Formats: sequence, structure tokens, C-alpha cells
Amino acid sequence: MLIQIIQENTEAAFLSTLEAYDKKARHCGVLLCRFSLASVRVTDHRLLPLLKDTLSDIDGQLYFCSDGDVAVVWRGRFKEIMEAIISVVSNAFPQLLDGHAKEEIFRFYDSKVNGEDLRLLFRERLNKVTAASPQAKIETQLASRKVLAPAKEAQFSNEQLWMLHKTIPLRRFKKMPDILIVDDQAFSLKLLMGLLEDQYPCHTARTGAEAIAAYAEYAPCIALLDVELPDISGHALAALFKKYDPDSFIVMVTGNNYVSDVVAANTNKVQGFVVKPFNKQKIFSRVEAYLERRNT
Amino acid sequence: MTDPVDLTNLHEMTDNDKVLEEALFQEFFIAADETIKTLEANCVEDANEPWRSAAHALKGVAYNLGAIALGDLCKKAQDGYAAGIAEKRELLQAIQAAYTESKLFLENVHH
Repeated sequence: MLIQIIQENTEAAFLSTLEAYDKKARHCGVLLCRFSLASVRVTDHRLLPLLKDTLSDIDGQLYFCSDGDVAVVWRGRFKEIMEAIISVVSNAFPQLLDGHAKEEIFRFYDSKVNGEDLRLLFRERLNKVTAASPQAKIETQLASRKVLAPAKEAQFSNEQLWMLHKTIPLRRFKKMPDILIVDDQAFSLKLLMGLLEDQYPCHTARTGAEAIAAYAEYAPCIALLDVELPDISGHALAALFKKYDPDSFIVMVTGNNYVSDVVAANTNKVQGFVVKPFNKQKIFSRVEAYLERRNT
Repeated sequence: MTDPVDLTNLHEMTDNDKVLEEALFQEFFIAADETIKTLEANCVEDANEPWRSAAHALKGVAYNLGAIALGDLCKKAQDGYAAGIAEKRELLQAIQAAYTESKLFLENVHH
């Protein structure tokens, strides 16, 4: 398996990858999808694990772009792969990939093309979309946008996993539930600490990496996770914590109430989704929900 | 004329702890100064994501503080991350003005 995640890139590098692939194999493919409709936006963080699973045996590269777009370049016959990717994304985010997008992708790539053809088609498509679509303003940016640095993977190290396995059983001996607060904004951390720390022991983290380390160290009873962190998505953290600690009690605390965030939270089966601005009642109701669960 | 910041929710969350509130105001100033600099730097072509991300960060802080007008502007900036430069500049100016007004208000709250 070789899926290279490009840290920082531009369209030029994207196109040169196409060329390089074309030299190595007869078939190459590229999928450039808009996974966004209206105000709904899917970020790379949520698509990453899905696409990685789907592409597990493909010698391919993933590019994460602004506007929730994903570009996947791979070597090999592309139609089957494309169908698999679209099927996975459609199933996971049914509201995000409309029929038109699918049709366009298939029409565009359902033929054998070489690197140069792809480059021309890519340009042609952009021009066509720019001229015809009401979304032209956004689409135009496909031509010159920078590809974003992808999120780090949410993973426990072996040491952290070992520590977590030791700390989870100790949770039931905690007299008061402890709370891990994860937010990159000092303001939000201070506010939540001020609200909770008189009654409950609190731990804080400002990045995904810090959150993972703190989670392994304390196995907190409750984790309040911001969604947009600088290194790892809060949803990816939630998925990780749920995977290794199914009894975890996770509450997403976010300024975003996009449908895609709610969908991701539901997928991860978290115990709460609190939208900023939050108030005392909203936060304490989640803590009370935890206490209720613990007592039953 | 209504105040640029409605502190009702904040007072409830801090139990009227003036020291904590002052500390939160300072964090707000730091976050807003930093965000506005980031927005200024990214009010250019090909910088949609840093623009969106900065607007998002200040939006959450502003809303939780009670600076709703500022929060709404940040939300507009976040949702309109793909807007043109002229539109972004206009939004940035509005954000700066709303922030200045909020800051002035907060500097006099406990005095």
C-alpha cells in the first residue's frame, strides 16, 4: 500500500504527478470531486479515513484542497476505483454528492487518457465550469488554489495505548468525574475551566496531539472536544477515543453547526454536540448525563 | 443603542468573577488581534483556508463572550471564505470596527 499524503502542494505538483504516473503505467486516473453542496462542507479530516480504507491497495496519492474538495491520483484502471470511492463517499455522506457531480466525473474520465490529455481535460473542465456554472466563483479557484496540508492522523502510540489500557479500569474508582477540555483557543479553555474546575478535576489540551497524550494518561470520564484543532480534527479524535475506549463519554463543542459536523458526530456516536455560544446549562446538562449513565 | 457586548451569559458562567472575566477579556483581545492580523495577511488570492480558519476561531470566542455582532461578521467571513478580495476587505473592515467597539466597551466594564 502506498498512499502518500502531500503536505503542501500546488496545482503544478498535482499535474506533474499525473505525468509521472502516466510514464509508469498505461492507465492512470484522477478524481476531482466537489464534495460540497450549498452550505454543507466536508473537510478533509472526515474523508481521510474513508478514502484511506477505500484506497488501501492502490498506489495513489491524495490531495486535499480547499472548499472540501478531494483529488485522488492513482495508477491503475480507474473506473472501478472511482466507483468504489464514490460509493463510499455517497454512503457516508449521501447528501453531499449529487447526481450531477457523479455524472460529470464519469463522463470526464470514462476513457483512456494520457497525462497530457488529462491536463488538457482538467483545464477544459475548469473553463467550462467557470463559464457555465453558478458556482463559477468557487470553481474558478480550482485552477490556482493551493492544496492544504492534511490533518495528522489521530493515533495512539504503542506506549500511549499501553498507558490507556492501564488507566481505563481506574476510571471507576474516581470519586468525581474528571474532564478533558480540548480547544485551541485559550479563551474557551479558560471559560470552560472557570465553569467546571471548582466541581470537577479538569485537564486541558490545545492540540490534537496534546489531547491524545492527555487521554492516554488520564482516561478522563468526559472529554469536551473542539472540532477545529490545528493539527487533528476533533471528529478524528472522537473516533479514535471511541475505538479504543468504547465507554468514553465525548461531547463535541464547536462553533460550527454544519450538517456535515452533525453527521460526523452521529457517526462517531458521541454523547453530545454543543454549539457555541454555549451556556452553563448546556455544559452541565452533559455532565449530568454522564453522571446519570454512571449511576445506572 | 445596544451594547456591543452582551455579558449576561458570561456573568452567569463566571459567577460574576471579575478576575476571571478580566482574564477572559485579555484572551479575547489576544485572539482578536491575532485573528485580524491573519485575516489581513490572507485577504489575497489563494488564501481561502487560512481566512476561513481565522474567521472561525474568532467567531467562537466572540459568540461565547457575547460579542454577537462581531461573531456574526466572523460567521459571514467564515461562510464566505471563497468570496472575492473586495468583499473580504469590506468584511475585514467591518470586523475591525466591531472589534474596536467591543474592546472599548470591555475596557470600561469593570472600571
